[in-house]
Amino acid sequence: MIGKFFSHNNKNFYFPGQEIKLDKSFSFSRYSCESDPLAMCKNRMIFSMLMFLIVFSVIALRLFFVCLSGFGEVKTTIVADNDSFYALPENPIKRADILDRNGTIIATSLPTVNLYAVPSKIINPKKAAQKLAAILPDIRYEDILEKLSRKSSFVYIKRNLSPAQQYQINYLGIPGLDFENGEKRIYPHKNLFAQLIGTTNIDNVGISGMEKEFDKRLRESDIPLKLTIDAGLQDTIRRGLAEGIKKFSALGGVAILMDVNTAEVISMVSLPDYDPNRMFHVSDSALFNFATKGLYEPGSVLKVFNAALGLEKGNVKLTDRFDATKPIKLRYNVIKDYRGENRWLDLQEILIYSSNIGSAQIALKIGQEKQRAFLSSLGLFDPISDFEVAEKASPMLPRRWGESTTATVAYGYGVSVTPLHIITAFASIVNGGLYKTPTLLADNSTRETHRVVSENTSKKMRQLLRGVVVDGSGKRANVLGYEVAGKTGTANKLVNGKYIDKKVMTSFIGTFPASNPKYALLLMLDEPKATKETWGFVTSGWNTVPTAGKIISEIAPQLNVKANYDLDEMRKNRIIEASYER
Amino acid sequence: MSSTRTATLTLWFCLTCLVGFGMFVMKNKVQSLEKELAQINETIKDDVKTIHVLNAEWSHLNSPERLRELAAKHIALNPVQAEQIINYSALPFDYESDESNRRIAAQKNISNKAEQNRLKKMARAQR
Repeated sequence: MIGKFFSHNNKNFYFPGQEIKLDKSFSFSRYSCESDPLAMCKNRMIFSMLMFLIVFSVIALRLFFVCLSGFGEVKTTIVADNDSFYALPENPIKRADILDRNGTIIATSLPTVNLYAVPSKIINPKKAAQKLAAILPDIRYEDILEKLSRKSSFVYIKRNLSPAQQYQINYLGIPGLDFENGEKRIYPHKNLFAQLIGTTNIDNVGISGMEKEFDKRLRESDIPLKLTIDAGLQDTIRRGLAEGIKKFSALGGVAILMDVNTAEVISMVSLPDYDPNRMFHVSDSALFNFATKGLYEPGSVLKVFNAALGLEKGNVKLTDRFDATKPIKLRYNVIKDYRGENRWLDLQEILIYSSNIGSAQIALKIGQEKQRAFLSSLGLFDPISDFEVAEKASPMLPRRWGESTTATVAYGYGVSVTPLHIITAFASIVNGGLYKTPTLLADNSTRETHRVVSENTSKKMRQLLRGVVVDGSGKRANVLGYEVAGKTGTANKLVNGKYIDKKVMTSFIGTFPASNPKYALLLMLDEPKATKETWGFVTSGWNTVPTAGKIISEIAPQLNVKANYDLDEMRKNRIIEASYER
Repeated sequence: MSSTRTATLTLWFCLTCLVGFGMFVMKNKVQSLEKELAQINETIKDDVKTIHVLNAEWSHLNSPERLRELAAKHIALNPVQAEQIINYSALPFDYESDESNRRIAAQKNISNKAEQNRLKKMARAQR
């Protein structure tokens, strides 16, 4: 039909292609299909030309659109910065680092590769399992085979491959095996921050310590989390504490170093601990962070707060004297002194000789109401809920608070609190009287602050505590030049409802320098044993105090505390130290 | 068909071709740039990973425990004791007389002003 436009009726062709050339002299009136012998041929040709035209126009169109839109999206995050836009790649590391106050890495994530299999795609599971077992010596052949013959469409063979293993497995070229980018949390300092930082599980979700508390923050933002902890001091203190534990065969121990003015925790150690990089066969006691979760009766350490209470409420003056000649008989119990002086004591002597009788008398004089209000303002009755670790304990208080409780709490029995409670309360007594919620986060300004005692009381307390270290049970922590002030405490452990003499928790809480306190250190040993060097004693003055003294003498220069001493004191110290040794 | 019309049509046709070609060239360039960007981003990612690994290693090598061991092995230094530190104000100078308060303060190594004043008074009283 269409061929008729090209008809060349009764014409001779002189050159090729002339037969299909457009004939200008063509007219329909003189044309008939039958008379054109080439009509069929022409029609077919036109048809095929049309087909080609359509196909090519489709290709051209597609080309045009491809030109316009491109092949696919390139994944970028656009960041606006000072009105200029630039594209940044996504951070390949998903979980943020944790840094100490100097920027040392405490916890970080390493990029690794996970091996997974699509069992349905594996042609010969037995052969594949054999080859894999040769490369992965820590997985049994049977286990791999079991995984590869499952009906599921996804199964992990091994997580966190080494680069060499990845190369070898890739080289095997088994279809159905594939790699996935993953990451592994590592702790370069091993045991140093064990319970404090905590650990993550295999899916990189925090399961304990700060990893759990800040899980969301660490996953959502890739800005490192900066702490107030100092790695160097943490190590010095941990080593000092470990030496003390070994020397006195204690079950465990706790040490906390705090900046008294900001309530920032600079170091927090709880022993025994574990290596978070190797979480096999870790005992429960190693996993337990005693510093924040361990409740214990602090013993004589609470006499500090009792004395502060007495001074603050105005009922007790430094010159007041109390009768410590005979035990106090209350309705339920009798209050005695450990190696009592059996004479009248003033407030300084009550602290120096750690007199239970004197302390109880002060508390009874002040009265129950004021005592409870004061201890509550020191935060000893509530869990420190704002503290940034997952493990926190709520203090244990007696159900009834009667006269005998008032008396026993005065010298540290009847309430159980955590070491963190004690050091926070202690810091607020010596720093001029301001209570601040303790923190682990650098630049944490959203914290509660309230006054607990007056400046004047705080100053008097520092003098009293300095007296304890100069003349009392804390003598061996009197580090030359750093004016240590503090109080010792030895508390019998409660086993099956009975206090046992030989099982004790000994603690020392100190601050330095006493004239202008900057740091507070709490040291606690769980069940230290008597040794030859301690002449059979298990009280705090024989174990925690020398340990604390050694630690303070090492950390004070690191903390840049100005040494201030006179040579007489040095001589006196040497004599004291010599008298303790055989 | 007038010549003006032919000229207009030709102009438009040429313009269309030019714009089309221009767009094609630009698109092509953008694509190659985007490819380059993707490559650079990939490299950055790799570098970030490497830096992360190196940082972790640095932190591991700098762990206080290891440094302490190395220090004990290679250098003979002990923790600083307080008596090794002295205040400049407490340094005794030869040109001062034996009984000057500076001397006494130096002997006691006291930087506290109040304490120094007390000593000064004591020295005066002795004289």
